[in-house]
Amino acid sequence: MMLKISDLHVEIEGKKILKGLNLEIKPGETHAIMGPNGSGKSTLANILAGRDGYEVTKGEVIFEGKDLLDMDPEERAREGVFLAFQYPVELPGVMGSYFLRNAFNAVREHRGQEPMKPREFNQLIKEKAELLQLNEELIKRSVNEGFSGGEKKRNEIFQMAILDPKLCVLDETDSGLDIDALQIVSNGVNTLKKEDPRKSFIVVTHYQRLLNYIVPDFVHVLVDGKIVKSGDKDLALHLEEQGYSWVNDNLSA
Amino acid sequence: MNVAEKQSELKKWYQLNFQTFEQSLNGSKASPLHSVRVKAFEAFVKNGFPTPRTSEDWKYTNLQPIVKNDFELAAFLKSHQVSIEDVNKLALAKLAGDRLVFLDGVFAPILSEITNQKGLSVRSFSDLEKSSDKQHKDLLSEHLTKYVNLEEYGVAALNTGFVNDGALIEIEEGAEIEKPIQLLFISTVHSRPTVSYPRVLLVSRKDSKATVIENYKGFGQNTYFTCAVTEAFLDESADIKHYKILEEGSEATHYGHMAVVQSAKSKFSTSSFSYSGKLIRNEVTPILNGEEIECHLYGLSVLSEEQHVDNFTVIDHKKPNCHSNELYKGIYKDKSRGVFSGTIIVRPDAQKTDAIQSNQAILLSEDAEVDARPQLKIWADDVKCTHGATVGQIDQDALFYLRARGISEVQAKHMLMQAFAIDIFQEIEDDFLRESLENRFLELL
Amino acid sequence: MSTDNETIENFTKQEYKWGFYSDIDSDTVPPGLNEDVIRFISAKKEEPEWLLEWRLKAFRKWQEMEEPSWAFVKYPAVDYQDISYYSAPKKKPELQSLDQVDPELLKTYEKLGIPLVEQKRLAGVAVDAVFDSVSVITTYKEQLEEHGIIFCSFSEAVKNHPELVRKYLGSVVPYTDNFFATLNSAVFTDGSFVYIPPGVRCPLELSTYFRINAQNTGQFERTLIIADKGSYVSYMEGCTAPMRDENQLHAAVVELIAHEDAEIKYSTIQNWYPGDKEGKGGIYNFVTKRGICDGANSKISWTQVETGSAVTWKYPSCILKGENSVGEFYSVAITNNMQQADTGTKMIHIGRNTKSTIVSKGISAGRGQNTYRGQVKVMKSAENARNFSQCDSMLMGDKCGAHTFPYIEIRNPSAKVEHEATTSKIGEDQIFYCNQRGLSTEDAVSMLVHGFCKEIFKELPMEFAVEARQLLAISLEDSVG
Repeated sequence: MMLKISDLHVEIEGKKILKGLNLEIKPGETHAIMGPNGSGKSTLANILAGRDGYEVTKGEVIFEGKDLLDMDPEERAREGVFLAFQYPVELPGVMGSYFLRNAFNAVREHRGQEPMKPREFNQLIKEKAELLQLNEELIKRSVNEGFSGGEKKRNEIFQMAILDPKLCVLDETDSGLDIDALQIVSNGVNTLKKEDPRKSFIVVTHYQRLLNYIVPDFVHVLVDGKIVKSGDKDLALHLEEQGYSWVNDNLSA
Repeated sequence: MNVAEKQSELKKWYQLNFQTFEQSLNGSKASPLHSVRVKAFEAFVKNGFPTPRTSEDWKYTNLQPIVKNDFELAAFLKSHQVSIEDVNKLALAKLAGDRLVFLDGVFAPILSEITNQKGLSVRSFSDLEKSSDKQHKDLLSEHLTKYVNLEEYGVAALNTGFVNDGALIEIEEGAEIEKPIQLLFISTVHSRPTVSYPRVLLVSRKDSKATVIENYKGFGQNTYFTCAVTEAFLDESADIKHYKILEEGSEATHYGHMAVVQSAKSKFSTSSFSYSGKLIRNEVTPILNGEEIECHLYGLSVLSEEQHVDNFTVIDHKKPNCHSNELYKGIYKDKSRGVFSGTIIVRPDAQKTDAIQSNQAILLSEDAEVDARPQLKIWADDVKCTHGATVGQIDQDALFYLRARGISEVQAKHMLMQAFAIDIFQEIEDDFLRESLENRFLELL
Repeated sequence: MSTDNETIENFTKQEYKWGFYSDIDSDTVPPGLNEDVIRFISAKKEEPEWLLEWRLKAFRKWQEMEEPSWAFVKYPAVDYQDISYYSAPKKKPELQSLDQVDPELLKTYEKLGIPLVEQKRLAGVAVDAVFDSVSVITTYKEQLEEHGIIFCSFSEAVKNHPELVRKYLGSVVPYTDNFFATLNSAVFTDGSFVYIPPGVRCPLELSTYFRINAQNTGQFERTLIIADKGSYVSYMEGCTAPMRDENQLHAAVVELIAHEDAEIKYSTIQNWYPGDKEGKGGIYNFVTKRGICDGANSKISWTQVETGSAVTWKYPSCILKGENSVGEFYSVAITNNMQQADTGTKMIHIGRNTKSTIVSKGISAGRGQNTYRGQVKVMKSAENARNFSQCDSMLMGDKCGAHTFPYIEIRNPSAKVEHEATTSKIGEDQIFYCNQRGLSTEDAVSMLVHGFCKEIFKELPMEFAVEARQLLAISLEDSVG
C-alpha cells in the first residue's frame, strides 16, 4: 500500500469539510476524485501536501508506512508527494532552473544522494523537456511569473517530471485549459506513467473531460466530505451524463 | 528683517487682529466656541506660519505673499454689493439643490437658497447662533475642531482662531440627498488686502449619501487671503462625494485644509480643481478609522503665469481592509509651479490595506516647475501600496500623429491635454457639473 | 623557499614603510576634539600646510553646524567629545590558530564560503595565511603601475601626489557639505586614492581588500577616485565578512570624479556590526558619497548592498554635469532586528541629455526600519534629462517598517521623470509552493528575497555577487518564524 487514508476528518476555521474519508492507493494506480464544488476535493489535495489552515480532527494518513500528517510540507515533498497546484504560485525573480535544481537536490539529499552537478542537471532538463514535448524556455524565466494559465499547468507537469515523485496529486489541473493545452498536459502525465509504472496519481477534477485523456483505474465521488460512490472509469461517464444530483438522488433513494 | 523677526512681527499683527475680533464678539466671548478659538489661536501663535526651513511639509511652498501683507479681516469691512445675478454667474446655477452663499466668509441669506431636502439640514453658523435650535447648536459645539489636528496644521489653527461663520451640514441616518449641496464662497473686492476664514462642518450619519460642492470665487485683482477649513465626519457606511472648485482672484492666496474622519464601510471621494489664484495650498488629510473604507482623492490643476499650487495629502490607514486611491494631475504653463506632496501611512493594525497613489504632471513651458514628494510610511506587512509619479511634456509622437492626420497643432495639443485629464473628469457623476468643469478646463488651456 | 621568505620579509617591512604608523605606534590622543587634536593628526601624518588649513576650516565650520535630524532614524546622541580621533592602528591580538578565533565568527565565515586562508587573514591569525595575499598584492601593484594607475592609501597620495589631492579633495563634497562630511574633513585619518590616467581601462577590479594597510582606517575614511578622460575603473569597497568593529561612529566621505568619456563603477558591500537582537552595540554608519560626471559622456554607477550597521545614513549621489552623462544607483538595504536604514540617492541633472536610473530594494524584517530617501533634480539647463526610479519594499513580519520618501524637482519641461514604488511581502502561498517542491522555508525565503534583489545583484562584480547572496541569507536568519 502506498497511501492509506482512514476516517479523515478535517475542519477549516471550525467548519467541517471532510467527514470521515477513506481511500487506499497502491503503487501504479490512478484514482480520480470527482465531486461538486465545495465537496472537499481541493481540501483533500491540500491536506496531503500539508498546507496551513486545515485542522485534522480525526483520522490518519499513512504514506509508505509513515505518518504523513506528522511531516512538514517539504518533508512530504522529499518523501515523494507532489501536488500540481490548481493555482500555481508566481515567484518573481526566482529563475525556474535555479528553483528546480535546488528542489531537485533537496530531494536527492533526502534520499542520501549527492547533489547533481549543474551540467548533468541541464542535461536532465533537456531530456525531460524532449520527453514531454515541453518548451524548456519556460524554466529560464521566473517561476510562473507572467505565465499563461496553460503555461503554468505545463510547468507543474514539468516540475513533476524532474522531481520524480511517487505520488502525484493533480488538483483541478484541467481548470482554465483549452483543449490543446489539456492534451499536452495529459500526454505529459501519461508519458510519466508509462516511464515509471509504479507512480500513483490522484486526479482531482470537477469534470469528466480530463479523464478521457488520463484514464483512471478508480473513480471516487466525493460529496459533502465523504466518498459516496466508487467505481471504474464508467462512473465518470455516468456522472457526466447525469450530473452530481444523480449521486445525491441515488443516495437518498 | 530676518525670518525669525518677520515671524514675530507677523504674530503680532495677527494677535492685534485677534484682539479686534474678540472685541467685536461682545457677549459671545463667554461661549464655549470662544474658548475653542482662543486655544486654536494659541496653537497658531506658538508655531507661526510654517516655512520651508521649519517644516518639511512646506518645503516647496513659501507663504511669503501672506507674510508680507497686513491682511485685515474682510468681514469687518463693508463688502461690495454682490447681486443675485453675480451669484448666478459664479455659481453652477443649473445645479439644483441647496446653495449657501458666503461673502468674505459671512453668510448671505438673501443670496442663498435652502430647499429643505428631506434628511438634510444646512445651516450657517451665524444663523444658528441667532436661532433657538438647540439640537444643531449642540451638534456644532460637539463636532467643531474634533477632526482637524491643530497642532500639526498651524494654518488650520489660524482659521479656527477666527472661526465665526460657516456652513453646518448634517445628513441624517439613511438619508440619500439627491441634489448637490453647493457652498459658494465669494471674496469681494476691497481696496486693502483682506483675509477671510470660511469654515465647513459636515456630519454624515450612518448609511447617508450626499454630494457637497465647495466653490471658491474671487472677483478682481485685489490681494486677499482665503484661509478655509472643512471638517467632515462619515459615520458607518456613509457615502460622500465632495468637490472643490478654486477660481480665486489673480492675486489671491488660498489655503484650504480638509480634515476627514471615516468610519467603517464609508466611502469618501473628493476632487479639487485648481483653476485660478496666485498661490493655492490644498490639504486633504483623511483618517481611515474603520474597516472596509474607501477613500478617493483626485485633483486637477491648470496653471499659468506665476501661479503656484501645492496639493498636500496624508492618508492615514488605521484599520485593516481599506482601500485608498489618489490621482493628482497638473498642467503647468508660463512660470507656474506645481507641487504635490502625498503621504500614505499604514499603521501596524492596517493589514490588507490597498493604497494607490499617482501624480502626473505636464510642463508646457521652459519656466514652469514641478516638485513631487510621494511618500509611503508602512508598518504592516500584508499590504499593497504603490505610488507613481511622472513628469514630462506632451507626447511628441502623439502630437505628430494627430498633425499628420490634418489636425492643427493647437487643436492637437488640446486634444492630448483633454485626454490627459479625462480620468479626473470621468469621476464626476453629475453631467452638468462635469461639463462645466471640463469646459472651464478647455478655456484655460 | 627563499623567495617566499623574502616576500614575507618584504611585506613586513613594507607595512612599516608605507604607513606612518611605526614611529607613532604608542600614540593615541585622548578623547575629545579641538584644533590641537587636528594639528596633532596633521603633524603625525606630516601633511602639508594647506591640508592642515583645510582641516581647520572644516573644523571651525563643523562647530557651527547642527547634527541633522531629518532622517527617519532614531539613535541616542553621539558624544563627539568622547571619541578618540587619532589612535595608532589597532593591533589585533595575534592568534596562533583558528582554534582561538570566536567560533561564532568562524561559523559566519563558513556560511560565506570564505576559503580557509582568507578566514585566517580576516580573523587576524598570523603570518602564513597572509602569505598568499602578499604575493597577490605585489603582482597587482606592478600590473597597475604599468598602466600608470595610482592606487594607494590616502596618506601616500598626499605625500606622493599632492597636486592631484589638492586639486580634487573637496571638489565634489566640499568641507562645508554636511555635519558628518565636515567632521570627516576635519579629522579623517586615511582611506584610498585612485587615479586612472586618460584612456586607460583599469585591468582589475580595485578593492580595499587588496590594499593591506587599508585596515583600521574605517572610522573617518576618505576615498578619492579620479577617472581621467576616456578611462574606466571598477572599485569595490567593503569588508568581506562581518568584522566586529567596536567603533560606534563611522563617518566616511567618498568623492568620485569622472572626466569626459570616463566611467566609474563603485560597488559596496556594507556589513558592519549591526548590534545584537535587542539593538545593543552596532555601528552608526553616516556616510557621504558623491560623484560628479564632469565631462561629456561620462558615467558613474553606484551599487550597494547594505546589510550591516545599527543605523545607516547614506545617499550615494551623482552630479550629472557633462552632456550625455549617466548616473546610476542600485541598492539593496536590509534591516533586521533593531536595525534602521535611511538610504537613497540624489541625481542632479545639470547637463543636456543626462540620464539617471535608480533602483532601490528595501527589505525590512524583525523590528527593522527601512527608508528610501532620494532626490531627482532636473535643472533648467538639463535639456532632455531622463530619470527612471523604482523603489520596492519587502516587509517580513508585522513589526517592521518600510518608508519611501522621494523628492522630484523638475525645472525643465523637456524632462521625463518616472518614479514607481511598490510594497510587497513574501506570501505564505509562495513559501508553501516552495515547501511542496521539497525546499525548506529558510531556502524558500532566501530564494524569494534574492529574486526580489536580482536586478541589483546583476550589477555587482562577480566577486561580490556570490558573497552578497550569502550575506543576505545570513542577515535574514531567524526573520521568518
